[in-house]
Amino acid sequence: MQPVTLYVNGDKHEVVVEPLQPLLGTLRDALGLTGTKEGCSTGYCGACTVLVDGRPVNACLFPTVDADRREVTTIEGLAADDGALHPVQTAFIEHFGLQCGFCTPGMIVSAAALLAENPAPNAEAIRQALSGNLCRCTGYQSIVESVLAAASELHEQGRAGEPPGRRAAIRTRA
Amino acid sequence: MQYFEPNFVDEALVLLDRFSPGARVLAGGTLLGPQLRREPHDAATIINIKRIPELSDVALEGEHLKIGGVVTARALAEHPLVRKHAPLLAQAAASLGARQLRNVATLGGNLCSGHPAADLTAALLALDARCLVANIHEGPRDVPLPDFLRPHSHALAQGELLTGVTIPLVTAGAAYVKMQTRRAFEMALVAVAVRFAVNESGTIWNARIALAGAAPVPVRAHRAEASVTDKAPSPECFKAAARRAADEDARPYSDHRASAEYRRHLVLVLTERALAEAELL
Repeated sequence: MQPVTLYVNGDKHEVVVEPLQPLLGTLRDALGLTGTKEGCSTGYCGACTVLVDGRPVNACLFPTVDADRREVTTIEGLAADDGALHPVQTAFIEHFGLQCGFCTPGMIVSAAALLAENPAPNAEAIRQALSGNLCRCTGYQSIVESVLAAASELHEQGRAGEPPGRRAAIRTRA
Repeated sequence: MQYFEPNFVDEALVLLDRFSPGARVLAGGTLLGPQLRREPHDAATIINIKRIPELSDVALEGEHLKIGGVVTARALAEHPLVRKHAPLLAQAAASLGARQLRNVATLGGNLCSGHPAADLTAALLALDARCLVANIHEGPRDVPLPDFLRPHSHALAQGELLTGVTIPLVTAGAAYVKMQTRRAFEMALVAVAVRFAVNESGTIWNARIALAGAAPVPVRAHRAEASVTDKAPSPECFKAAARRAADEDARPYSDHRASAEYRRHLVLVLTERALAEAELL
């Protein structure tokens, strides 16, 4: 068993895990952050997408030990401290970017990471960036429209390119 | 299960030597994790090699580009030295999986997987890459990539570590052409990596054609390469080479993604396409 320090959505957590324990199980079972979903468990469906140091990864494959002393952002970390939803979340609601909702946390986290990197993507860039997130309901069109709307909203709010999620105040990395 | 995070190659080698068999090397973990969940007693010791700084390096060394074993697909796709000196590898890396996977999957993992459709492996075959292998008893050695590859395995002996690859710097046109059931994020049904130069007399030399998804491991298409060598590039020349690649070099297999027959057809079409694309560069 291996001790690991995680900075999840700005909060520091100390956990002890098996060497290959995927980050997904640590988040859901040890930390109670069940917003991140388990889909295929093999890295195909993207339902478990979270950000490690701002970059999307499949939490079902990502070893918890590799998140040691790094920033992890999950769907729970996107809303503001006062509970105001992130513009990507609001856009998914307003533009019907979901139906059953199971892929939605991963989809929104991927989309938020894309917009931090590329604040004004076109539809093709959005489809490319979200290609690792499968959705069986929407047919993707409404998701693309949601992300385009979120990009405009972030721009209007002067938040274009802003990294998503709350950050830990203190961060150390050997 | 024991776990180690060595900071030096020699430290990793000592650990491998001491705990093999039963020691497994962890790089990106995208293959090892699921494998050990299926066979939970296969590994008693995990050696995470991502804390060894030199394994993340990309650098020019003399007439070679040297790339460390834990460099991720994303880093390969974005690194200025890779884009400048091995654009074929950057292109293949950008086509690998989805963003979530490219942020994690490593060069060394791709080579050691022995997957028949491994994108990075096919590109590296066309780039004449050599594998850098560290060995605690006999010192380091480098192995031509074709000799390193084994179907769903690798040629490392017990206690050895793949530390990276070297690629000779050459000026050549190159192309990576891949057929998938989706345009993004799907294993290649077949992919073809091509590199060749045209000399002053207007004929092709130094041609390399590598196939992924067309044999039990990615392979060089030697007969197709011979067929274009010393010929002037032309649609007829490319068509003839593609025919040899499909009929003589490919040893296609059937699986749930595609039949052997379809894969052979894809080798024909994609080899011709890749040669034509490489000529334009």
